[in-house]
Amino acid sequence: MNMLEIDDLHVTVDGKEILKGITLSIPAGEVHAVMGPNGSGKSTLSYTLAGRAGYEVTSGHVYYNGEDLTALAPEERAAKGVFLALQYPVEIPGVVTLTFLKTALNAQRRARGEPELDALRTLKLVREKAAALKIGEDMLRRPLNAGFSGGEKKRMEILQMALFEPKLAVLDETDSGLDIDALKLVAEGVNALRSPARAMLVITHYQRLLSYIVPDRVHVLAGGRIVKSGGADLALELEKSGYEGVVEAA
Amino acid sequence: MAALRETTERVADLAGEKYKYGFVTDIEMVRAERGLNEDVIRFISAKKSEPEWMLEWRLEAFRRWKEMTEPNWARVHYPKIDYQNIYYYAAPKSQGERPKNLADVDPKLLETYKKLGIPLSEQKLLAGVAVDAVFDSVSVATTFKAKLTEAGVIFCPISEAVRDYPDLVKKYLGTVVPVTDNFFATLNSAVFSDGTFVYVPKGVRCPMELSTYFRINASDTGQFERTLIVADEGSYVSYLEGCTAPKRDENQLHAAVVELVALEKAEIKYSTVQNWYPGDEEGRGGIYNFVTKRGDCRGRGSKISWTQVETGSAITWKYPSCILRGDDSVGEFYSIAITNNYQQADTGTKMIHLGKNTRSRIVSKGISAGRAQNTYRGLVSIHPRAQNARNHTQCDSLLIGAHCGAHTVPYIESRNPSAKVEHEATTSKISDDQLFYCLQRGIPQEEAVALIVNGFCRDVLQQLPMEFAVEAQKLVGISLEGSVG
Amino acid sequence: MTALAFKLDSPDIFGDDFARHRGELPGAGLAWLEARRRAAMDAFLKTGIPNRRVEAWKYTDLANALASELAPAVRAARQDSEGGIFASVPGARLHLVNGFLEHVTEAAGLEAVDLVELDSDTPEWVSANLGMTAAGRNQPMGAVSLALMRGGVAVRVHEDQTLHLSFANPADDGETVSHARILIVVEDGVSFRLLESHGASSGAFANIGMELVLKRGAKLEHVRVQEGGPNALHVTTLGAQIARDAEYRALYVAMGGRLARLDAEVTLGAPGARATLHNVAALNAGIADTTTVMDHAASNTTSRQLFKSVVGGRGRAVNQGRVAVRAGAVKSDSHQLFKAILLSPTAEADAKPELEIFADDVICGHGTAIGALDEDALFYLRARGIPEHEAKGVLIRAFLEDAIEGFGGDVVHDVIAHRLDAALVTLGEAVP
Repeated sequence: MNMLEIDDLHVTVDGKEILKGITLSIPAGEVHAVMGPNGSGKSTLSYTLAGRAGYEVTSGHVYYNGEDLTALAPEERAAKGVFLALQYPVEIPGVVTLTFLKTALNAQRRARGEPELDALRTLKLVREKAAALKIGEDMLRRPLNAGFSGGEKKRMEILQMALFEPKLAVLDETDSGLDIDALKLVAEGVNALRSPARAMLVITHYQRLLSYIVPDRVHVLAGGRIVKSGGADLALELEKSGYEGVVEAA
Repeated sequence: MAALRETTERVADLAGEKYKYGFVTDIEMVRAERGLNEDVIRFISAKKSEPEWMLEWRLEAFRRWKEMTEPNWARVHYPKIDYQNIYYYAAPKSQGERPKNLADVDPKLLETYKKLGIPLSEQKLLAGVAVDAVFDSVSVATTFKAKLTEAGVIFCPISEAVRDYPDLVKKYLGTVVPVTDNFFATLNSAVFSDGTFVYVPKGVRCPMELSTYFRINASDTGQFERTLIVADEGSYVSYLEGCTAPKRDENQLHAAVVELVALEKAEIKYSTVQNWYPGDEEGRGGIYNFVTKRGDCRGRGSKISWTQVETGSAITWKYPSCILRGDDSVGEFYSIAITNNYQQADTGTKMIHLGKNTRSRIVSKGISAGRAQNTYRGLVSIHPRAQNARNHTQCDSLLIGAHCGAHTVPYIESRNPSAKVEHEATTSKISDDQLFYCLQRGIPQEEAVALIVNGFCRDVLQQLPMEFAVEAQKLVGISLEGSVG
Repeated sequence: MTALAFKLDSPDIFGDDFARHRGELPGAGLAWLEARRRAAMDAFLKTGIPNRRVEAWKYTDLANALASELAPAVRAARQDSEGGIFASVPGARLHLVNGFLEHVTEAAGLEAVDLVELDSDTPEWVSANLGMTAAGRNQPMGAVSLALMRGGVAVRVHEDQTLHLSFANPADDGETVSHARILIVVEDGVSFRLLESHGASSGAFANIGMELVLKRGAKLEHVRVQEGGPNALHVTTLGAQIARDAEYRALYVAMGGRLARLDAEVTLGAPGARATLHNVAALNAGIADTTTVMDHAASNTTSRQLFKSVVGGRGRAVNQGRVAVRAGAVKSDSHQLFKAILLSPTAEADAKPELEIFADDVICGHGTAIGALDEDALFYLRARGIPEHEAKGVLIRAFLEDAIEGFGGDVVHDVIAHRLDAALVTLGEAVP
């Protein structure tokens, strides 16, 4: 059984059909990339997997470890191990980052029937994971994402991924707005989380990220459909000939 | 958020349990006859064994009250109150005489307090908090008296102070809130039943937080407590007022008066966590909370700060104020006012700058949800002699849902050119993006709302004494249950 | 004019006037006008002449400033057609004296109707709009300006252009009142610049009701300068209706008078409607009160308000700005900023920036700052050789500049700057 099975998925947003029949499977242990031009439906796919309101599944299915994912609320999906790293992480003024992390962590543990961690243990855990991503103590004590640079926000997303240890991680254009150094740091963080028990879906516009996070399969999304699939070298081919070449040929 | 409607409905089912303090204690009560007339006032005064001068004071207030009309300028709407249909005095029957120690207190009363989580017994007390509990119109017990007496601090029910410290009371009572200040203050002056008196002598830093719990239990009874706190030169006192009331279908009236006097270089910190019953989701029942609170920074370099978290009561009408009379005096006001369902709040503050180099700071956070109406009304007034006055006001509103209202009505009056007055206001909502982000990270909706709102209120929560900050945060979450969805 | 003690009830001078003269007023016999006048009178009588107990007039006690007998103004015998302060700007002209239209220059694409001549031939665009705003219960002086209107002008603009609208109320001993109405309709997509001036010679009580109707996509840039003599009593009630994608930009400049009040209510009635109001007050005596209501009645509407006052002597500047966002008016975006500088120990500034919000997805903010001139900046200028008096003037002009720039074009800007400089000289003198 694959960890993620998407079967002929049709999704409508604001009355307009964006995903027109996506079929995609990701087994545990693999990293798949979805690439596509703007407007192809990449973010729609990631929001649908996370359960955002307004993204209506009109037909098709999404199975997560054999369970119908679309029947679950976002926080239920999170408790079951689905993580979405956003393209534009949200700021929440007045909510200290550390407080947020502890709340989320324990909410998920509670939902799974696991014992909650106290403040001291959470802090220790957070510090460990934060060090690798070069996230300092001062960032942890600031309100969530407030005044963070683009790179800092993305690193914060990866920190959360490291903390929550999801089984399925969906990274939505994690590379957008990052320079090379920030990109490398983020990629290292993501690679450190690759494991046989984990599946990842990396959504990106540019090939660049995939040189650092090398995928097992690459899918091209255009006009709401997957028009081509291949190995990691498909990404390089796209870089050479652009999306037009590949999309037309499909 | 269609996908979350189910969650919200599940929460709504629990709504009946939401206000966990809504129980009623079955205790025989002694009451004055219904309605208000001179006999009732004499009855109250006699019950408390008051001296003649106190009775005269009350009667005079009552005569003035009869000539006044209820104010109607606030943005609150409520059915007309029938003042003759209320009991103005209620006391538990078994407390005929003052209890000598806790062993003498009616065990049913003690159980009520236990349910409320108020530690009356000295062993179970929160470290260092002296609690004076008021059950309806009578103070039940005062703990930690010994330690305070040692420091010279007087902390007792006002009915006791009237008898034991008449000179102090006479000197200060009615000097900050004059008897005829407003309709509800005048009513209170006539029928005030009990309250707290605190006096901190010169140079003394009160060795513990002082706290009083109020409870309105008997139905159709108004609560009219009167509090007077005097901080003599160079002293410091921190006082917390917390309140609960049972769930009933009819409304109950709460018209209190609080007077604070800070002499030279003295400081008074007054915190309120108010959790009166707000009425149910249909707007039935709930407390009418009409309060006059004022602090007089009388002495040079004195300081008074008001911190309040208001989550209950059907109608709130209160403007804790500071008169910055002494040169270099400081006034502060930190407030969180939450209204949900059909609550209405018209609340704010007045900072009156009279002396030189006075400073005031106002941080007001209003949160409106359901069909509630939340209004901040503030006045910053700089008198011609208030050289170098400084004021900064930040007033922010958070709207949850499309059916509520948030309003800001600040009056800024400046008559001194060297004064600097600054005021900022913002209005916002909890964005779908913020909510979704929290959900995706596993935080269920109710908790997410509480988290975001607590973040919004952080500036004010930081001002509360620590033990009560925790309670306040929980209260914020409870008050907003069912508000998003 | 005698100084009067505070009165609780004003004698019913306006009610009397209405009862006695309604049959002789312009347009008497026109059913639509009579009905509106009657409704307006009823609305006025609910409050009467406002005194300080009326919340919206709390800082400006009009009843106390008026004489107990006020006769309706009559047409001035001599017609002086002065150029007005904006004479150097090309455009059509309308000049009113004592509330009566006395001078008209024509222009293509501009229709003007003298309200004295209202009859059954009056065009439909007048009867459809006249008296529909600036006449309600919450604007009592506007209401009475309609009920007792004796003159005025209605203007319809079809083509882009500029219009000078000037007012004179020749000095008298303060015992007359003129009630005049102005209606301006700007047709779809038209850009219109309105330059309004109230001359310094005014002495009588001028009560004006002004209505601005902006049709779809219309743009109105309104520059209004009010200079009054030390006895001028001036109340203007303005109602502006902004349609879809239309824009109203206004600069109001108030420079004096015993009591001058501008009561403006702007309704952003459809998505895309925008309004920008700037108000500048510079005075050292009397009261300059600008009270606005910005009504976001539709979604996706935008408003910006900037109120700047400089007050010396015994002057009082009052700025009340209520922003109301109705339920459903999501994505409303509103901001107000109030700033005042006090120059003397007897000057006063009062601000009341009010927000009334019934929709959640909105951006609304306001800020207020009242203080004195920046001491550091003053020292810097003096250290560079600029004498104190002049330095203060420089700072005050800098303070006011961002409020006046961008309205009406360069020539208009220079005229206003010049007028303000003159006013500030006297302000400077009042500084101890």
